[in-house]
Amino acid sequence: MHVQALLRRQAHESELAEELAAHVEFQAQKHIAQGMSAAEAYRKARIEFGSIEQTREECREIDRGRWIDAGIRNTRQCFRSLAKSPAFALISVLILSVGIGANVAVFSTVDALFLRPLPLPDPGRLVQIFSTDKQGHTGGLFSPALEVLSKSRAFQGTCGVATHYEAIEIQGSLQNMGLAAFSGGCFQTLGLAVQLGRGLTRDDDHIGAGRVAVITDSLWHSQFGGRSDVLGQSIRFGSDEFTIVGVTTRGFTGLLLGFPEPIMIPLLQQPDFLPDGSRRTTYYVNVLARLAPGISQKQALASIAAERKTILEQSVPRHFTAASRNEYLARSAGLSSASSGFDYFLRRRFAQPLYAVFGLCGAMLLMACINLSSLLLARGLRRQREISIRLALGAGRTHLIAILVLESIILVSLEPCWAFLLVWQRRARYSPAAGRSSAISTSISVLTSGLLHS
Amino acid sequence: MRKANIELLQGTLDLLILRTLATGPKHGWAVSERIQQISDDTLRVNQGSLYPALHRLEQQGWIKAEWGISELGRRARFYHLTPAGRKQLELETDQWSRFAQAIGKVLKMA
Repeated sequence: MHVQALLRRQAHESELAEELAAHVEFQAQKHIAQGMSAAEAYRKARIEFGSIEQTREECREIDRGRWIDAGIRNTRQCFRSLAKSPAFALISVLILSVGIGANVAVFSTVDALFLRPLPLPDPGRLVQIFSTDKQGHTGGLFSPALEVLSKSRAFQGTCGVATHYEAIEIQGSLQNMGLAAFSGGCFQTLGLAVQLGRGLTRDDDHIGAGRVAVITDSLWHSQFGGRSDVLGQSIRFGSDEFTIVGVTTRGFTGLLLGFPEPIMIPLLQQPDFLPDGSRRTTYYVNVLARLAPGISQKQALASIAAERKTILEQSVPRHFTAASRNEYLARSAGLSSASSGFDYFLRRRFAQPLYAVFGLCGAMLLMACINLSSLLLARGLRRQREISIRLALGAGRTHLIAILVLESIILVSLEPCWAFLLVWQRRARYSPAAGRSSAISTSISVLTSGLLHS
Repeated sequence: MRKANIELLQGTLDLLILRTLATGPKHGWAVSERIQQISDDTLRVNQGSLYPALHRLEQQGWIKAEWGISELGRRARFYHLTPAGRKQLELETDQWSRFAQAIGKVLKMA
């Protein structure tokens, strides 16, 4: 629209210049016909004309007035005519908002689940390595597998993550929260940066090392008010106290799809004990790795398949019974892209239904459009009288079409304004700690509100 | 006798343009030429006010412009009267002749 207006103005400007130039030329031709030399004729014609620039400015002024005037008049007329049939306007806005709202809701879920990458450098090079049992259930590996994998030339670095959902005490109040236990190489492998303090290192990942934790930006803001004295404060988890040593950069809410994990601690600092009372040293973890430069996902998968036996044999825990041991060793190993994070079940569980719903919503939008167009058609028939009166009074066809199109545009643009208000109003209810999952909840609320209003 | 160039009265230019165009489409220069000729050079149209007037009349919907080729083979913008313009011409002609009559009467009788 804007570009068109600009082009039109440019075309208009050159037309004006040409019109005035033509005048001067005609006048000059007249002088030439009376026997004047060409140069003298043009000079005289120009002098007779006076200031071309001033004339041009005056014409421009008049023509500009026409566009603006017409625009304002048309818009006012459209609003008047819409106000004259408020039921029609209301129903059209509702139909459209339900159609568009549902699509936005489903699409934002699809986006959060499948499309949006982790806020980390080069997330496309991150892969998830998993084991699959005979029944086809996928799972993680035991942490000694990380050492085997890190020796592989296919990977630049590895990261094992154990996830907890536990009661955590922050500043005297207890709350359920996601907690991720990171193996020593995680921050480096992921390229996870901190905005305050430091990240977790290999030195932290030892039994006996000081208990430290890194928190996400959203937890820092929701629980500590974004104050810089957060470093050194403690978080209690189980019987142990962890000292906060860093805050990750904004946007990172955890590696797990759909669940925020605002607290990260070293893997071996988890307060777990073996049946014999000794501290546990092997943990069941989700494994992430960064592909080495020049290695494709396919090549990496081949190397995993080749090393499957070593990986499993090196990592099976010593305290396992023979039956568990055999089951673990019989697993197959696989690899998939982890550019948008770990996935336990969300993607697998919801991919099909989600796409089905997406299709349905598309169909719904189509129906909404059909409904709306038949409404518009009916309205058009009813307005035949009005239109013929306008034509009889001398309104141009282009003018009438402009008005009808403008009316539709106003109708359509009313809808997003309304939807935006709804989303805005609901957004406040979700705490900033929620992060990635809040994107999903916000859009779901759009859907529900859309459906409620239908 | 010296010919006086009469400055056009406010608003009369519009009427003259409409009347000139009533005989057929013309470009701007032809309009001013015609007015000058018919009035035996008594009325001189100021070019600086001719084009703004043309554009104003076009905006009011009384005349319409289209690009065409002049008798000299040059591209020019030709103006023609619209039905609304024809009505306006009748109205203004009527108003003008009553005005002129009234002025004439006063000048003779007073």
